[in-house]
Amino acid sequence: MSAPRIVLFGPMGIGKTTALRTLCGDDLVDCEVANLDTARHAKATTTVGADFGVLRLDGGEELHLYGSPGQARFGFMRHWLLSLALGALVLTDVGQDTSLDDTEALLREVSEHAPGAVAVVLVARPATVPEIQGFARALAERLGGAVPVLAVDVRERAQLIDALALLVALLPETLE
Amino acid sequence: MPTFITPPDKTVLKIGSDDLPEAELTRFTVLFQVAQTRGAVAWTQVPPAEAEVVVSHGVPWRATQAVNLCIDPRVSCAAELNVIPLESGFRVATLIEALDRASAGVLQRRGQSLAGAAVGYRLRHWVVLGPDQQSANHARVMAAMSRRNVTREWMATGAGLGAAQIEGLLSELRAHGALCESRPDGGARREPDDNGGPRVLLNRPGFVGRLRHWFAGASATDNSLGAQR
Repeated sequence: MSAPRIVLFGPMGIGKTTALRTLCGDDLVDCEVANLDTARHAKATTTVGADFGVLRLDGGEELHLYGSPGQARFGFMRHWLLSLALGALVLTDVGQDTSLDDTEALLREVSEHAPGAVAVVLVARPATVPEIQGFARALAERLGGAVPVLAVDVRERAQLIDALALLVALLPETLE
Repeated sequence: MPTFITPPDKTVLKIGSDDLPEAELTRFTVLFQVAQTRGAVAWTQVPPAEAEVVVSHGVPWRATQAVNLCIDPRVSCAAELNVIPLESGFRVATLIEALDRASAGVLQRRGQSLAGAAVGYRLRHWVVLGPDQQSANHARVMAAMSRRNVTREWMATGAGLGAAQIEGLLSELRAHGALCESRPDGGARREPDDNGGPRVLLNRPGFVGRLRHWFAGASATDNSLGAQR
């Protein structure tokens, strides 16, 4: 049986690979190649395929973590990753003009391709509390319901663990 | 005799303190004047035999179905005795905490929520809570409220929030315009408890619980994954 998985989505350069590396350390396979799309983002490398990391739980169970490419053309990859996902972390930078549109689109993808899966939005770039509150309110208005929005530093493992704990708290008790 | 304040819209619980020795009764009476204004419920004084919460010195004065606030307990306070310990020389903060615990116990028995039966609360939108409301229990309540209606009773018994914490959280959410309340008897539509779940978990009984346990431990200690790799 495939291990349950959590996926990390977000635009190019937001920090998905860094987050996975922070969480999984050496238990990570990344697919970074030289970034040829420097017009979109100046970073040196970018992900093709999918990053993959493992959290090993007590008792030998595993939770698989996948980071999907941020570009729209990799939508097929996200859909495949969602096929066995119990939840998604959607990373965003609320300071970007497109953050609301991008996040809404990704959350709708999650809802469409993984019915019942849960999602938490991670504000992965510095933002003020009022900015985050405003983003959360606007997102809820668009989606017709509250979505958890949490500020994190993707280099801080404790913050990512808190985010995963919140994601797991969203899972229905009835599944247990 | 303490003066009892009964604010509107608060559930009233019966408390009896007449069996206390005079010195302790005086201290209790003075501090109770303050403590009773801080909780989510209101109190009315009744004889101990009729009380839902009995304030006693030492071991409970008799076998009782009431919750006992036990001042200066000389025996270990077993849960089956419905005893909540209160140290001798208690201060108002500890009295507030003890009254919160006592009220939660009584309300659990009554099978009702802290303020009105089955009022459900749900989030309109997410709110970044202040530092004093960033506990795991608060997060659990917020997570639940983002997906379904949650009662005060569930917040207390399902998520472990105290009565004062529940009041504080709901006040904060109201202040942000983020709280949606539904009263089944008022004709509000009931929300489904859950919307199903990821198919992948269906063959893994208890997996969510194990995940929660693991993340709670990892969060508390930030133990390196390297130790488990």
